[in-house]
Amino acid sequence: MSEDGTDLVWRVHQEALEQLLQQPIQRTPPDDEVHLNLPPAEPGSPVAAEWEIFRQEVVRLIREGNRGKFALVKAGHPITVWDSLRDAAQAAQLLYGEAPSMVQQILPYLRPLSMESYRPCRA
Amino acid sequence: MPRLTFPFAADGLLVPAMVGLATPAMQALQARGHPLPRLVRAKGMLDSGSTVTAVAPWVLAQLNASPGATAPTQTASGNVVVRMYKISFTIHPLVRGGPTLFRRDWSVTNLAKDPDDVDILFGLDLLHQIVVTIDGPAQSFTMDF
Repeated sequence: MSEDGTDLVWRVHQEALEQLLQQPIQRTPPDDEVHLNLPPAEPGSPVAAEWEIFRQEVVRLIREGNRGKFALVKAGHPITVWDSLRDAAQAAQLLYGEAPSMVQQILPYLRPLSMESYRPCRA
Repeated sequence: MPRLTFPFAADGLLVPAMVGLATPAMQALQARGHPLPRLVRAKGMLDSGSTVTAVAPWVLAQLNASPGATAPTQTASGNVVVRMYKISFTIHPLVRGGPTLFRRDWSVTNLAKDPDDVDILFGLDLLHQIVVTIDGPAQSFTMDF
């Protein structure tokens, strides 16, 4: 008896899943496999120095377990790490006042804001 | 009701998924005696900001999925035209033995480019069919379906 399409797709998925789950799943990449994809600073950016410091330090920060937290970076000062954007912004205000400093989420890539640019139209 | 539980990562509501062709495409290949393309392992994300599930171009290319109709889409960076595709997918647990969320003929659009952190955005079309419970402090979320 020939297999109908419904069975076919289900079977293909089940077989692939069976194969996949036989392998141990790596939930996080090993320390030495953090692939950076951060562009250089924009020319003329007021936080160009801070951005370059962040690029140099982000792998270390991730390896220290800070992935997803927020780094407060100010050239000439140690980087501090905060649990939330709000905490980091408050710290920036307290530590550096109006002087330029940078808060950046600790990820090896630049994350598009909320992926809004992919949002299909509801109309 | 089957339940999947995942960590609520810093990157968002991430789910492991496998993506394949939809029924008509698989049937057509089988009828012609052609091999079926391997399913693609994809990093999925639940995204209430997307109306329709959207798939990274590299995934669609790997499946050799045929585009369907075009659809205008309004994005933060302006209007773009996307293509519609039909796919199948499984959202699966991280370890053996749990339930799976499977859909065989699912309409999706292509993402404009390949994002760094995600391969498939599961939008409101899926969220309307399941119950998602997010426990922020416990850094976990569940999907009941």
